[in-house]
Amino acid sequence: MTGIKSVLKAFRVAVGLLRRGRPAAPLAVYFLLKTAVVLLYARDSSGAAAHLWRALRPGPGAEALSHYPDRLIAMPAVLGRLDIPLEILVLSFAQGATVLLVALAARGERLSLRAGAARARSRYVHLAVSAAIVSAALFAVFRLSAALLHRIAAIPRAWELGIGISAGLVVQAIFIYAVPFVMLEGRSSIDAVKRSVMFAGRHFVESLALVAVPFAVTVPTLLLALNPRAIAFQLSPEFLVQSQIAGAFMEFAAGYLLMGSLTIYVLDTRMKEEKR
Amino acid sequence: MKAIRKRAMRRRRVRGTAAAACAIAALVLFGACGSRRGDERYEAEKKLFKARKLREQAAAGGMRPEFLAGATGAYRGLVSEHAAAAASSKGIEEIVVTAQMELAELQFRAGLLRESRSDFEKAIDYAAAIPPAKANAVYSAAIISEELGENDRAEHFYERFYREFLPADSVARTARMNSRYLVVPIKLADLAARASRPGESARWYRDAERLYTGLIAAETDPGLLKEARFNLLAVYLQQKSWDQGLALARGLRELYPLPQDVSSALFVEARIQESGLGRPQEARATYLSIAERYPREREAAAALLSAAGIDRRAGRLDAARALYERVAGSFRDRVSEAVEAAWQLAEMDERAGRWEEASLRYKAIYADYPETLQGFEAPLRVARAYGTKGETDAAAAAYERALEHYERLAGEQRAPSTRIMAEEYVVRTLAERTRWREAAERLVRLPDRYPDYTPFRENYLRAASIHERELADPEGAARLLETCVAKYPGTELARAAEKELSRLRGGGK
Repeated sequence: MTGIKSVLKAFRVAVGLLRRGRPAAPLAVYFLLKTAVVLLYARDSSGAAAHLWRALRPGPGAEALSHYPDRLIAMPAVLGRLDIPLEILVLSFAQGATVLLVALAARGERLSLRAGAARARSRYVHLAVSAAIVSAALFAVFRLSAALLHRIAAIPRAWELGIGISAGLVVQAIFIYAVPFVMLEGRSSIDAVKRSVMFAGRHFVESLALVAVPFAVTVPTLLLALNPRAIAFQLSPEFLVQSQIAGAFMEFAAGYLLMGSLTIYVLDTRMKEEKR
Repeated sequence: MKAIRKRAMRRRRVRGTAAAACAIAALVLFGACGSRRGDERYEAEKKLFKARKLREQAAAGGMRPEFLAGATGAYRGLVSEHAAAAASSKGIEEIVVTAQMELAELQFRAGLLRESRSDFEKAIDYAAAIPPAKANAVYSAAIISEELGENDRAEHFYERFYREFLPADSVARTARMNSRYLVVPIKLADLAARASRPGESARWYRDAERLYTGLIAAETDPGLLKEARFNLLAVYLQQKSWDQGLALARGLRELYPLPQDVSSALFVEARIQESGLGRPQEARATYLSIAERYPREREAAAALLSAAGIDRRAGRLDAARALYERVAGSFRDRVSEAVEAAWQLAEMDERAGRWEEASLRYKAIYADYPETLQGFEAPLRVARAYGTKGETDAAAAAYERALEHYERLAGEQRAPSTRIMAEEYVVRTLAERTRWREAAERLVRLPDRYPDYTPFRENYLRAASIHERELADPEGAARLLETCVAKYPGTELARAAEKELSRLRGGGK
């Protein structure tokens, strides 16, 4: 119960720190980048970037990318393929900088974006490697759970999705502390991942709560992305662009909530451990 | 010194933010330099999608005029904007042709037959390089012309189709587009016969026979072979080549042993025996065998009706009655046959002087099958019968009931065709009761109530005629004709109204 109270306090503090503005800046830049990618995809059907989209959707589906509304219907799938490299190469950096800025803000120290970026740059390789490990683990768990469920019984897609998401949340809860350990304790990526697993083992329920709440924030836009064809034909294909941007925004909000509360929770727990 | 350092830091921060913003803006603008033709096709596809959405709205739950104009406008806008680029881009050409065809089909579904044909004619021009679309457009224009009763134009389009798509070397290709196209020479023969040109009709039938026999000899596709054989059977029947027809029908039974095919072929055999060879007893046996062997097939109920007809004509009324009862009772899902059987039973009772039974049967017909022709006719039949018997009060009450029945059908949420038919019957009932003023008023209300059903526009002429002949009110007739001219300027109808108007005024002088 005390653990859950700590988690709730972490969320409250993280949200409160937003008043200082800057802790969310790195993730806001990442949100702008994703919005720019969505707009680029939406407006360019035959320009230079079209080659990139085609590369992301090879085979017979590539032809559909130059037609309306198939192009917009394919957007979640195509841009979804861009997510993993973006998360490893860009989001990991933004998350690192956010963790540092939140920690500084929590300690009441002066916030400097430049300093935050410089520190994240110096830890970039470790951030990217740990992000890659987490992504690979998530990918493996999704694939494995889908394959296992297919082998066991023919279950409805909604159930399959629910089980896959639950497994994904557990994996994320286990690996999520890698970023603060890289940024705040100067650990190497492998060491940070190992320590994250151990830390999460000791505080599993809290870790699960830390990842589940931000995930819940993104659920509405995730559901919208599940059936783009129905949205295109029943509402409008252009609504898919708006829902994709809304999804990126919710991801930004959830990302800040996750990194902010995580950092506060780690700092709090470490302080308690030191006192003991 | 501190202040200078602070300003320098702020400037660097601003520069950093500006650089990030520029990078994102560059990323967005990166794709703006796409190929123009590809973009135009994409834009055209976007417009086609929007036009289709409007079309769905217009067609949802019957045709809704408030959306129809938007949908047709969207299609026309697309075609006019991109038609020029169609010649240089195959993709755009396909979109323009698709839009033009869909526009014409939409007009057809809305009952705007002339507009639809005009749009199909435009589609013929746009689709010069897309044979399947062109064939569809020419064929559709012909069908619509036939529906409009403009047989000359129908012949023109069918002949064009025959010339362009059915020469010996392309028959199979055309039939693969749509096997219905094979019927074109039969249509031409039929139109020539209706125009009292028997020689030409016979020539078309010979061409049709040659076309189908050629296809049967050369083709291997089972679907096309079947279509060609059944078309050939139709030619034999039209030419009254009974023996050839009978032989082919029997051959078809061997070739296509599926119940639905055997039952169709048997039905044709029975028809030949009955109408062609004059062997009604043989035909009766064949009809009955269809109903016994294939009671679930389409022809079963019709076969029993035909057998009953043979019995009735031969004076075997009990046998006929039994067969009609069987159709009316056991084939209620085959509405047209079931209602026809019920009608025949009512008529037999009426002729036999059993009026009570007959009137109950007529009432059951309009209660159970209100949307059929017999269902519309039954209430008036009852009212007229009372009139003929001299039962004036009963007749008046029956006419009132008939009127209420038709009013209810016209006012309910039913198919537009049912409501239109009910309106016609309201007018007919009023006319039979010599309530001429009400009939005329009703007639002139209908064109506005059913703006998409163009035949109602002629109601102005009908109402004017009532004013002139039945109400002795030439002034009223003239006013209606003037309204018609003002409402539909430049149309054939306005010209007819002007002609009537000048006759009326000339008569007045």
